[in-house]
Amino acid sequence: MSWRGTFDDALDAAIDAVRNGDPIDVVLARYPRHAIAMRPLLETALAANPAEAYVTPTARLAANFAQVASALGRVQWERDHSTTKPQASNPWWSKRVAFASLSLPAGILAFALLGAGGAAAATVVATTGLPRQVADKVESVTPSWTHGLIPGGSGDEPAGAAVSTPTTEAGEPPSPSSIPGASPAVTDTQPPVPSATPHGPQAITIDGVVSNVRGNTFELTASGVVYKVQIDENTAVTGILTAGAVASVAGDLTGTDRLHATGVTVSGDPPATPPQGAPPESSPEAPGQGDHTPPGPPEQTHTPPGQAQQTTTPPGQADKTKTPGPPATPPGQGGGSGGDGGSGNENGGGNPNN
Amino acid sequence: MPVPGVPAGGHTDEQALVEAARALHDDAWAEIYRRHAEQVYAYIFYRIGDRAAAEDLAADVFVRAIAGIRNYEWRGTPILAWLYRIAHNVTADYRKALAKRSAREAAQAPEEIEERVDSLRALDERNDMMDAIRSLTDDQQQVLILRFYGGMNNAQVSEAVGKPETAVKALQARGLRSLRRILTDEDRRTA
Repeated sequence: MSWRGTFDDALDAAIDAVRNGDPIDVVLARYPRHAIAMRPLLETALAANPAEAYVTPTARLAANFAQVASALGRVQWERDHSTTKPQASNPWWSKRVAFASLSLPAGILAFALLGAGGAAAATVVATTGLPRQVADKVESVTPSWTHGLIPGGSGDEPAGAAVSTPTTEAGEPPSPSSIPGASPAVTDTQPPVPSATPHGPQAITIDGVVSNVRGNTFELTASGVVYKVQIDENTAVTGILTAGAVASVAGDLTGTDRLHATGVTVSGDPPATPPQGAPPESSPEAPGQGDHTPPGPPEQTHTPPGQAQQTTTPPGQADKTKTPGPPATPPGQGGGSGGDGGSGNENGGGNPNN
Repeated sequence: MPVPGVPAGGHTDEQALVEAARALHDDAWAEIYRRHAEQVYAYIFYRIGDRAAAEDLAADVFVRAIAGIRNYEWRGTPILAWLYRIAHNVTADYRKALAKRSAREAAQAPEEIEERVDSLRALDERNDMMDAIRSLTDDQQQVLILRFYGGMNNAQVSEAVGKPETAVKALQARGLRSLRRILTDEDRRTA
């Protein structure tokens, strides 16, 4: 029976056949119409030999799991500390609404002024550089509902201007409980915010691991966040401040990650879990531990993923740098079981099922 | 065919794994990395031919996956397919950045670059096939690598690249034709 499908279909089926061990001539005989064009392509497909091209990863691949664990810790922390829905970024129309909220009343005001014969003044008012007293009048007639569409929409701000109060990713000011490593007994009920804000520095106590001790500064890592701590002659330091020590630092939070220490108590050795970027509550097992050890075969001892379940063995090693690579079931034997198309987004950030 | 490393009844198991990963469980991500890091590495390595960079980019793929897992829903497609798609983008970004840097450096020190290109060429001659594959279009590379080096069938590649099977077959045929042409030209040149 001769093949009646397209060349692409025939080639795909023929590739499957030759890769399963059927001789090329036998396979080509099934597709007489395409045989001449297909032969060189089948030969090329057969020449693509994974074993020849593969180079075994080093232990670096396993060690890189630390980055993954760190990223996981950050995402966990963000999830655990964002209690409200993140404020949506300003949609494209918000500025237009904001502009309209000003321009419409400004136009009304200008009309009124024109009516009063103040044409020149109205021209000034209707331009973007609204004088303060005019802006105040504009505010008085701006519908209040537009304030929700204007970031920090008090009416005193230029249209579209955002209030510079620091916020978390969730759009809220950082609360004491949202500061990694901060002890629950924060001495001030105000949210600790950078000193640049009207609130000023906030007293706080943070437990963490000391590093980078240099002169009057050191770093304190707590729940994956690194604080830069400043000490001075008034700072009471108990114990020896050395890198790796666990310390409790009391002081003023002068920025999102800056502390001015009033007291430092060094209590002991660092915790077993690496604090840098580690998840705040529980960290993934480090590479090389337990059942969750990521693959990190040393060079020349490669066992490709899934190899353990295979009965076939890849072709022998070619040279020192090349190893039998992806296996008889090499990387990607994804078991495509005919899903319904939900394969995920391409960059890990969007809707995967589009 | 079950996903490598997944025990029998892989679907349920993978689904549970995805759910745990969506809940940001440490163990789930360690397991996903354990199962798939080398597969992702291999894909990237075939694309760029640089082991160290491939090892680092493989980790980047998982970092991006963690960032996007909230939007991932289990619909029967192996998570590996999704990881391959992320790997494709990560690799493309890397190559773009590399090309930009090379162009910048070439403008600065043409002689040094010439030397480096020569040494790379010497390395590539050891592996004409991979060199040829890397000169194909991005889409063709993706399909041929998953098909021939990843051992996937057409349906699986289709899932991994997010394109219809007919498109994958067409890319495969065009890629093989280009590959053949490149390799035969290469043969003629060296003969």
